[in-house]
Amino acid sequence: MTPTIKKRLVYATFVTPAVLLFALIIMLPFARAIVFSFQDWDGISSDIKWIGWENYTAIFQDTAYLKSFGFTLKYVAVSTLLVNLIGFSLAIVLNMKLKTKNALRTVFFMPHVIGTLIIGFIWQFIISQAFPQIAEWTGLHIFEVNWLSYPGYAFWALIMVSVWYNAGYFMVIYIAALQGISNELLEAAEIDGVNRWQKMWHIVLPLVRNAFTICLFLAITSGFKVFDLNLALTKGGPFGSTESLALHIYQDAFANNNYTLASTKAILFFIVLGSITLIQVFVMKRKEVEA
Amino acid sequence: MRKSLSSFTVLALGAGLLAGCGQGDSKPSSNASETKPATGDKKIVLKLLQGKPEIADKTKQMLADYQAENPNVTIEPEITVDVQTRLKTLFAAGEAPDIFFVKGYTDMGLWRDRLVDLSDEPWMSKVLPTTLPGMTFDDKKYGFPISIEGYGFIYNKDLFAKAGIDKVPTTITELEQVNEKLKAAGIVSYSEAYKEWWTLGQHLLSLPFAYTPDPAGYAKQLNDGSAKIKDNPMIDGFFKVLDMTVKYGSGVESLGVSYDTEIANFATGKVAMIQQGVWALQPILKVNPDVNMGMFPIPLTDNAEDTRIPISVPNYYGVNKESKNVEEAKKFLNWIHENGQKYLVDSFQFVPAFSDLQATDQLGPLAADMNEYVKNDRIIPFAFFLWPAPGIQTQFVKPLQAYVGEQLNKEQALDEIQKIWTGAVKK
Repeated sequence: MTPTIKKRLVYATFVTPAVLLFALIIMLPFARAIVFSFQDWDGISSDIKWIGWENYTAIFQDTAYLKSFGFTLKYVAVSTLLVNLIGFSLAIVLNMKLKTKNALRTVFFMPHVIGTLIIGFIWQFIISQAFPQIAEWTGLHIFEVNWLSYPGYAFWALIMVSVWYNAGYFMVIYIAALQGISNELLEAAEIDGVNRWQKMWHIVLPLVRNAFTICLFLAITSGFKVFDLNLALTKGGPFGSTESLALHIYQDAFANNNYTLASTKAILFFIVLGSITLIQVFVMKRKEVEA
Repeated sequence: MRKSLSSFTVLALGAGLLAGCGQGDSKPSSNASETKPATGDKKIVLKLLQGKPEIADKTKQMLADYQAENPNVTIEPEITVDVQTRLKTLFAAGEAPDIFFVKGYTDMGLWRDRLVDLSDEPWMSKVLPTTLPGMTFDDKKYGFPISIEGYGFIYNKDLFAKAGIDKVPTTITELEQVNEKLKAAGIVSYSEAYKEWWTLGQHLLSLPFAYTPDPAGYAKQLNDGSAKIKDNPMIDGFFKVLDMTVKYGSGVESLGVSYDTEIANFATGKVAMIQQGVWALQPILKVNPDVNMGMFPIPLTDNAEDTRIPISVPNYYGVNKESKNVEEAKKFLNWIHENGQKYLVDSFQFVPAFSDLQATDQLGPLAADMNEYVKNDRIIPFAFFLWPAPGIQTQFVKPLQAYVGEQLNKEQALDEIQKIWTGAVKK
């Protein structure tokens, strides 16, 4: 056996199980979904028809689908912005020399270890039962209304809960990145007489740019795929105004028995999400600084 | 040497992993070979899939009793809230259960290709006539009715008395008067759970369809386009009732009220009425065991003679045609019927769907009020079982919620509902 063949064999033995599993669990269902998107099937009967591109033309006339696409885009934009902003701010504060640093880090990360379904139900209870109490004590008008009854409020309820849930997680990533910056650089800058703002803008931010790439990627993909929190907190309501794409596709497949149409929607969803994240990672990778 | 050792380990681990995966696929076939010669006292495994998690423990008790009498049979239950989704995934995975929950009418129609004809079973002659239309296709009967359920306005008798109401309303005008009296007494009438799709988009919306003289024929006319929903003579009454539940209830904020909140508000005496059915009895009693309550049907017209209560079978047991143990499954269903009084009525507290089983006082005030109407044959079906897709009510609820939220007017909401119906037929 020549060394190169041996090397390749070792390589193959390590990679094959993972590839096989990936193919079985991800690629196969994905391929099946592509096939489904050219068929007509309700998910139950034994009769599956081929209908060509009909599903693809149908989804562009499906106002509910387009509406939930719009909602999801808005949700992704706002939640990505807020969760990174708050996560990064928390990281900066908790990277300072505070006595309660470790306790606070734990507290902010804590929500992330609870399941999203449970979080949804807990917050549903807080919003419908505890908010009126807060309104009674404080007289704040914003807590008087039931947030889940109005589309505008329901959107912000979702944002609020998802930011509360995710900020701690992003904080951890940012803290790790901040701790990776060497003190020598910062000290040298201080000796050169830069102020705080300059230090942040010209040294810290460029050096944690790779963390931003990761965090934005995570926030965008998880935002697009939001499902369980959506289901548990608003169920897509009121009147479908907060129905995320994943929830919409699920309901189309299983409640409306539009299995094949839902597969088509999922394919389009994949293409859109895939291109957005590819572009994001590509653009941001180019600007990263190797330190 | 070390390298080749490690690659060997990886190979072995990988093989083990794959074998682990493979096992799942090969299980049914090995099972089949085990259970095929099921003539003697060979082990027989029946898989049961059903909903109603609230009776999960009692169901398991029943299965344990059956297995004690029939030691060669093992029944593996799976009890889930979402039977329809689970069924589809199990069938797709080739792990279909032998016995499973099916809903009547449209759902039964979709699944009937996969179901055993149960027409000749001994218990079939004992089912109540109201259970038949939902499970009969081409003169074949496919279901074992578990219970009958009905719904209307559940009301708090003490609060009604406090407001000086001595008789339940039987017309839509009387309903309005009741609401006015409650309002005058400072009592809120409703706290309707319009966050849930099923209270508004299923049970309430079902009424104008159920009140038509021939609900099944009407559904067919809607399917072929010869009738339009907006021309339904009962639709005005439906909107009047809907308006009342909002006006004398939580207003627009009904959209944020969940089932739990609704039950809690009623059980603690905060509101006088809720639109629910016999299934709400236990949840209400759990919050407050001392509620003095009853139930009356929801009127949509001013003719008291018209007012009837919606009654249907919420779930049937169906037997999988491809099951290896069809005869054993039939035997099990027969056993449930023979012991129906003990399990279905006394243990599960279901209102029986068989004429030879007796409803007892134990079933509570809601079932008692409902049974008055059943006895006098003043009943209408659950018309939503006739709608063109089993999950269509989750769509119907959206325009209705938008109407409650003052986003759409009556005509626009009806328009949307018509569109969803037509779209579902086209599929």
